[in-house]
Amino acid sequence: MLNKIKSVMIANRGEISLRIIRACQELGVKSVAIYSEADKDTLPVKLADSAVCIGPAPAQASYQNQEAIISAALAFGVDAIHPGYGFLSEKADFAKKCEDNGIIFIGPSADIISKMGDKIEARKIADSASVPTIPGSDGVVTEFQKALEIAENIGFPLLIKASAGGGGRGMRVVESRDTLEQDLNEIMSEAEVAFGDSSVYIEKYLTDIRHIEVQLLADGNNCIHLGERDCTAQRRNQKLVEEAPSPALSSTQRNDLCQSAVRLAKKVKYKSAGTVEYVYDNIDKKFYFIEMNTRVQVEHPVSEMITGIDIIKEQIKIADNQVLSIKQEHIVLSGHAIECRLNAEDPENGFSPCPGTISYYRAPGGFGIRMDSHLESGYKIPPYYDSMIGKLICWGADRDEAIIRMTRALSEMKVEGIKTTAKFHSKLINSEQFKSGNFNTVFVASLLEKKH
Amino acid sequence: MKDFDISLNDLKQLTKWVKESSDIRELSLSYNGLELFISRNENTQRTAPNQASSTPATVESAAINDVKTELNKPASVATESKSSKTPDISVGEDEHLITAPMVGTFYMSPKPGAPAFVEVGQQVEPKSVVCIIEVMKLMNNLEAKVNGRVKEIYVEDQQPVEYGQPIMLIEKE
Repeated sequence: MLNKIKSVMIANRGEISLRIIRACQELGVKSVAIYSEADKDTLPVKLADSAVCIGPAPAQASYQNQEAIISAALAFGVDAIHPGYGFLSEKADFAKKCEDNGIIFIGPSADIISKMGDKIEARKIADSASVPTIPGSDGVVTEFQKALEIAENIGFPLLIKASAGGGGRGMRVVESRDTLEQDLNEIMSEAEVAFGDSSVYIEKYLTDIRHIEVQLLADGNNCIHLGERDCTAQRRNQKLVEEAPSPALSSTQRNDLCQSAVRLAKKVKYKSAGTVEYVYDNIDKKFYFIEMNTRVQVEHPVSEMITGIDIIKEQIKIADNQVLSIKQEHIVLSGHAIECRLNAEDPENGFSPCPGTISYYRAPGGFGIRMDSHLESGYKIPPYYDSMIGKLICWGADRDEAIIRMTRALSEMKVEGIKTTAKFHSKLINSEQFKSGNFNTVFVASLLEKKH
Repeated sequence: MKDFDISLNDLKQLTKWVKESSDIRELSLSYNGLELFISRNENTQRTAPNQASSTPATVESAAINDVKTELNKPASVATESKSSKTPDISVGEDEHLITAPMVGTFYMSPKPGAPAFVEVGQQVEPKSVVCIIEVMKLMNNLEAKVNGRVKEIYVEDQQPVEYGQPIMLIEKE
């Protein structure tokens, strides 16, 4: 099935490592798991064709240690490295090291990763591909008069950000024209004092938004989309529930959104699986580009469930230099899929992480259920990595059925010995607001407030 | 490598300097716990590029060839697997186990055809070099660290080794 890639090293851990191992097995490709000392007895290590310990538990010394991973790939003679998500998946320098050492990096080129990873550059590319971006200044503004002009054109509320600021510093929301001149003046002189640079960005401030993203597959020339995913149910920017299709979009909007993502990918001759992220403004019903993720995403299974396309296998075939065999007209969106990201966290206690040993695990099952997880009874969750213990994905003929099925599956599943977010997920998807499909990114926070 | 004060970039600079200085044949460096051995042997390079002589000294020019050879290495992926991992080794109080400090390729001798650094039964001192682990074309010398005698060698020449893999058992004296 594959030409150049006969073996793949998976530079990741947990459920995504397992996900990639499974794809390799179905493609007839040898899978080589890497692992840290803390992950010695985990399912990916057991199920891969072979496994290589690359370092001690801390991620810096193992899963993020570029030298160790390249050395392992060279010493054990693999053809390709799949980075999964997180860790090294969007590190252009790692992709470059793979290229330099004759190892196929399963993802786009280092050049594309760094281009799309630069927010300003990405916005320019989006503009040039006629992909809508949040109305605002085109780059930095250094002159007060110019800034005033731009602000008046955008309308209110708007957000002024010091270009040298960050982490919430040097940002201000301007509610109306009345205070604009004063606000602008203050923030520019504050920025001059604090950062020695008075230049600012100005953009429309969106208050009632959804987070919607488009899944793409592209081979460098052809590009198709697998519809959108709606990831609006977030807590502190952490996605909790993702679904496809989005309950907010009309079919015309869906088509416009997905076509814009394809235009963006074609503009840069994108080659791999990728996701274009947007915010959707509930007030003016418009979508705006925010960034492109040049890797496979945690929530990719929801798109797989409604299209029947195995995104990881397609991604590996593209890395093998094969032409995309699926055409856009072959893609039919069928039914509705929901994913719950299950974390080893205590929702009753501010979602604090709960590492520990799983004394008993029972996976949910039945029609339309998919559990992507590395859990087993006796598995010890190490404290070194993120707290996700698995993803429960449910497909239903429509959204209502998917919610009912997810509720049933969550109660069927048993994870004993640690605290998990399963019950919280059940409450969330059964809240009136989630069921209505009509909510925004602060909905989970207000749901949590109501409870206390 | 993170335990050392010398960064990978420093080493790259060093190897570049060695490469450009035609009068240097071999260089051995020991600094703050780091040991580096660089040797150039153009002829051996061509016939056995996988050996320890595929030196950092020629890294720029040889990199592509070396990689291809690595990739053609037969079946290393298929066979080095679970069976070779963590053999049950009990280390007595009068014994010292040398394990791989990093994932890479194990070499018994400084260059192809050269005698092995050590053999079973051989006397070693703390500073004795017992083998090389190659990490991305960089040759890292491993020392015995103790006075004693080589009791067992668990790895074969040119075999890939993973982090923490037992390499050699030294009987302390």
